[in-house]
Amino acid sequence: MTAVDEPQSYSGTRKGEPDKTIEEVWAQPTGLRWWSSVSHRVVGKRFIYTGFAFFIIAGFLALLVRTQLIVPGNTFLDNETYNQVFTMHGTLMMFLFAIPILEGFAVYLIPMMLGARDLIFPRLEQFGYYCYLFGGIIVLSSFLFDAAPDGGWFMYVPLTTNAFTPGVSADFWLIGITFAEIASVTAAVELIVAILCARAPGMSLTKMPIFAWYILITAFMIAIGFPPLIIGSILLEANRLLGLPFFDPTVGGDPLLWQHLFWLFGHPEVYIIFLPAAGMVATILPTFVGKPLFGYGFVVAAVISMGFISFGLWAHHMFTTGLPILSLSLFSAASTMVAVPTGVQIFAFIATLAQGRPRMTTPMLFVMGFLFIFVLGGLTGVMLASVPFNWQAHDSYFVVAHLHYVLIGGMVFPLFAAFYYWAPHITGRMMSERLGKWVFWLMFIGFNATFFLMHVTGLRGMPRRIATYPEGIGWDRLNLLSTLGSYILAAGVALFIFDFIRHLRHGERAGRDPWRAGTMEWLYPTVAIGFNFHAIPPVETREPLWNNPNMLGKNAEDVEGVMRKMHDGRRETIGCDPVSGSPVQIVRLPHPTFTPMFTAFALAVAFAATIASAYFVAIAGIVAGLLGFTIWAWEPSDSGVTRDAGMGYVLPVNMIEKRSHMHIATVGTMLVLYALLGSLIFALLYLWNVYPNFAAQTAQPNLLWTGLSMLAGLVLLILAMINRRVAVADRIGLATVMNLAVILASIACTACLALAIQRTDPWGTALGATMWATLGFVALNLFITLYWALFNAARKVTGRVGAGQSLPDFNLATYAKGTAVMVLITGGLFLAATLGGLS
Amino acid sequence: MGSTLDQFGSQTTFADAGIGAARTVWLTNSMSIISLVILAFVMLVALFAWRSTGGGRVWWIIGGGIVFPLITLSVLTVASATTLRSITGEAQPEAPVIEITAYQYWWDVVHHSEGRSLRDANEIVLPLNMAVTLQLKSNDVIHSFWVPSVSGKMDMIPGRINELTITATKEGRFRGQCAEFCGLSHPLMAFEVLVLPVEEYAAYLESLDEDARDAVTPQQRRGKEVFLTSGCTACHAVNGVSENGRLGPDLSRVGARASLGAGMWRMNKGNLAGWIADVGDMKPGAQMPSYNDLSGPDLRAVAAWLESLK
Amino acid sequence: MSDRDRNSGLLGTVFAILSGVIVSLAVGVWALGTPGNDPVGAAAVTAGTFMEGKFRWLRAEPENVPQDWVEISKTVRGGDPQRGATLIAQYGCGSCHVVPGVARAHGTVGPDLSGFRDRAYIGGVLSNEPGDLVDWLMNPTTHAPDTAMPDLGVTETDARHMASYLYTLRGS
Repeated sequence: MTAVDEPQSYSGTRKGEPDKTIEEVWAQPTGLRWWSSVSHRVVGKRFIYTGFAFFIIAGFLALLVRTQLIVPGNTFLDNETYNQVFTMHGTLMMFLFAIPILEGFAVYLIPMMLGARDLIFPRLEQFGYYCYLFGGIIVLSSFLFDAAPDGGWFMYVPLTTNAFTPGVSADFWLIGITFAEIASVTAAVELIVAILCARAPGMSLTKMPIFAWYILITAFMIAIGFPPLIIGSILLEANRLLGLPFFDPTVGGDPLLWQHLFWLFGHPEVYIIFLPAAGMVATILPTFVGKPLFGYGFVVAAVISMGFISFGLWAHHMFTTGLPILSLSLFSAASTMVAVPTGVQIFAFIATLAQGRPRMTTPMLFVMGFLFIFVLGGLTGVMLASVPFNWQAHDSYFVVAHLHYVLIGGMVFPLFAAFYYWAPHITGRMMSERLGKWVFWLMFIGFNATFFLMHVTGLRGMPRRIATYPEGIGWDRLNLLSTLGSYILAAGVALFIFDFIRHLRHGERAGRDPWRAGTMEWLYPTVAIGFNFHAIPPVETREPLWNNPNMLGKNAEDVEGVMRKMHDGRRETIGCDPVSGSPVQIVRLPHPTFTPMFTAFALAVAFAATIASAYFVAIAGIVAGLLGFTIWAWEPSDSGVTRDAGMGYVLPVNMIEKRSHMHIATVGTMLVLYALLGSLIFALLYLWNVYPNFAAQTAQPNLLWTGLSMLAGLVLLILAMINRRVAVADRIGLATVMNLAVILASIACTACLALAIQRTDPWGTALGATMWATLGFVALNLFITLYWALFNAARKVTGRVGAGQSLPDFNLATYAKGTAVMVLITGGLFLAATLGGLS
Repeated sequence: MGSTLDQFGSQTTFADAGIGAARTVWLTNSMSIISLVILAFVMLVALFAWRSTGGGRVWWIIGGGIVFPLITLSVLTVASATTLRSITGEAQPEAPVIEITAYQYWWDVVHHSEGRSLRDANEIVLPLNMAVTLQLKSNDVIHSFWVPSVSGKMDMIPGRINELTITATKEGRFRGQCAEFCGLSHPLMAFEVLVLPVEEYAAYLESLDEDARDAVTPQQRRGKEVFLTSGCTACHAVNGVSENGRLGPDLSRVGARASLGAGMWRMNKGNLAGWIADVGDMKPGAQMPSYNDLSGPDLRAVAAWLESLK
Repeated sequence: MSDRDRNSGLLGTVFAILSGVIVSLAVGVWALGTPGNDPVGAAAVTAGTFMEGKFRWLRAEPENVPQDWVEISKTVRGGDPQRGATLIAQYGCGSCHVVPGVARAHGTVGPDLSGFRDRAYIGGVLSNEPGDLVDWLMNPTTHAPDTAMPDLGVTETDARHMASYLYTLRGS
């Protein structure tokens, strides 16, 4: 690897000058250009504020629901409007509030807690935010077109197919939410890489703040848990737009396939919502006790096991659908067992209380509220895991009570604790303790008044999702009380908003580390600087601010650490080994740019146009989006040089090896893509199993073309490996040729697979449709491989790639190998279908 | 204040009118009490921990988080599994079969007895203390069959037949309701369960096999005439009067039911007249058109005739 | 924190928890009550009547003021409006008429009965007086042979209750 010392020009920023100060390099764009900021603090705050706005909107919808139910036979909302209101309440809360706001906190806090100057892929984060914003706007805009989705947040088929939901309301949900989910999935990959690759020197995995563990596991869960819903939504949208019969029992489809895909996502989803909030509790509680979290190892083990176990519980949402007794028993037992890792965390929190004298502040009040409410919610969850009880309580208000106990107790209360706790960090001022207590008690009393007796309401026979109920069954007073309670809860939230706005002007200014916390985000005086650290200090313990005299003893700027010197006038942070945390590279970070926003906007236009059936506009949007990605990625490589990071570390910039952050991101993305493929394979195997007679009617794949496709896949695999070897050896011309070979192999794979199932009619049977859907997905990956190879070749051909700058080909090789294996798997399935017979 | 529906009986799960409900309610009650006790215990431990400064102990985590849950959850799993077994029991090949198909927004009921298929709608009559197999189907979207006082629920999914074995142990009327969101009038899709002693149940089946009651008064005769000539027969069947309508509920015994519109309104002439004249207002999304062009006397006549079909 | 502060803090906390428990129990008992068994509601009604009785002297008019004859003319002998509302629901009037204050009475087959008290005619054929209204409710088809409103078999007692409820519906 030869060192190239000439700084190259870099799109979107000024040409690097070695003597710029850190403040100048990291200056925030002002005026309208502020929207091009890629700083994690700015983007994180955007997620938080936007998420809170959706919380208020969805909360208002909840008040409409409760007002309609205040008396029996109420005519405040007619049935149609009520169905839209409760659907949107659930949809907004689950997709546009809960995960984005927690993501926002993660994006805001993780780099500072871990000792990084920014997130590892700042432009990706900006892109994710705009996808979320535009997706959310698309979903909300459905109200303006009187086409708000009204099929429930879970959108069961066949109610949401064209036959029973004509019009575009379901399409708003399917397309808008899928678009917003892109934000969650990109954030997941980003956080995985950021936590693994960008930590302070010496911060091994076991020295990470516990919040980082929670977010890491959550990110993995998102990467694997969201794909089933994405696939399900795409299949349902394809059913609505193209008539593909995935869920139609008359041709071998199954409405339960939707339920399986949805709940494969839906159950991990609620843990994805709970875990970051529990991580906040695990961070806030030790601060106010003044001692570290007790049982760190237990908690980490519990969180990891919860991540795994949560994927094995989904069918407990389907106990009444006629599952076989064996399935019922297995899922029931597994669902009760998840109480164990949950209990470990709760008792670890309780044990931490005993470590010292806790201080009662507003955040601690909310933590105590979390304890009470979430534990009760968890207990009713265990009740629901019992199948005979579930057969009475499912789809009744008992479940409504349970889910609000775990979601509001397990997420909203910790969130409010986090608001009060990190408000000084975000705004520089303290919120009011006095008003905070009022907010807490109003919310706590209001919440319990609303939801506690709902357990009884459900057990008295009131089903869910009913716009009205007849008088005299025994539900009247319970509903009246629940509604009055909801107004009290709303008053608490309103008071919080008042306090927040008030404190922006009149709040007491926060000093440095006002709560005397131990994690590194409090190192600097609040709201000081946009780049987190003048020098990134090495850490030896989990609470550096408590144990390291280097930290709080002096001015934050003077803390010793690495990366104090600016290199080439560029933004950068330290990159580390994923496990040990020792520095291994310097990670170059981008400067503010509008490209991700433009790309997200192009995709938004494409998605909105699809809803409006303006397909040419949609295609134009996709092309524009592709263009946006191309411009985004077309930048000089930073690899191939080494720089002095300080403290004796001389490190490569953007190193080219498996531990490179870009490579780990590629692997993370492959994880998501394999989860997507896995969901499609699940659908294939499920339909084949449930309706074997229709499977037999599906035309078998052509043996010759299947074989050829597997051969092509093998060739692609080998070409990819050669491509990497050649590129890393800096044989630029040969690498270009290999790129072209990869392109040809991708085309060959696509063609062979398509020809293999050319005789299968996608409208003939559900299995046939799913085979084509699988092909479509693999073809999409092949297209991405092709485009990427083309891109890499173009960069080399135009002379923009020098020696030691083979990271793009390095990553392409991994991606192409992954795609090749997808081709092999798909070919293998087709082969099995032909040889073994489809019946 | 009494209810217009108070003649329908209970809709609560805290009942023992059926084996399913009875054997589940003890589980409900015991789990509820134990949950509240555990909650109180956890809060007390937290309070104790708050006031203590001696440091946490590993055995709290292992005891409270692992051992205690494992023990209680194992007990719960065994209790649930045994309850489930006792409810679902062994297959009863001799049990009468009732095929119930859910539509948006009513219930088609067919009793299979001695080789006959006897059709009724919206009211499910069950024999006392005899196990009955319900075959639950759906004609359009997913619905769910739930009569809380008698049994747990089971979904009705298009393309599938879900079987639910139900044994009613108390005489009387009970109210059930669709428990899976099925569209615009999901809140208005309920049904009645009437539990009769076995002899009366047999008599009921006989009545389904016979022709519907004759029209006696001139007004009833006029009503029957209007029924035959206004297009009602395209969807509705009445034994001995019109046999072909299967798109809507069977009306042979409509007057004998306690409720109209699938468990939602009292069965009387007033509601019948309002229903026929403007069903779209009472039950939005119902497939039945509103017959608002009948003359006043004709409307009254049809309502009177239908009410007489007991 | 001084001992006095600590004691008053403890006292305040105990008071808050105790009153919270008592209020929760009371609310719970009320909410869990079944229809027809409403001790709290009954207590509220008794208290209200008591208070009204105590303060009637504030509102009473002198004996010799002539009573409004419209008031007299809209009084139905033996009629209880509350019972009437229940009967209106039970006879199924709501499936054809909008009747304010009666659950699920939003039918649009017959006329809206809001403000019925001030109507001049019943069904366009009878004058709006108690006797005629009771007759109408019992036998609408006798007075209007072409009406769509069925003879619902309403007894005279029930008709009196229903009529007195209808006469509480004042126009706005």
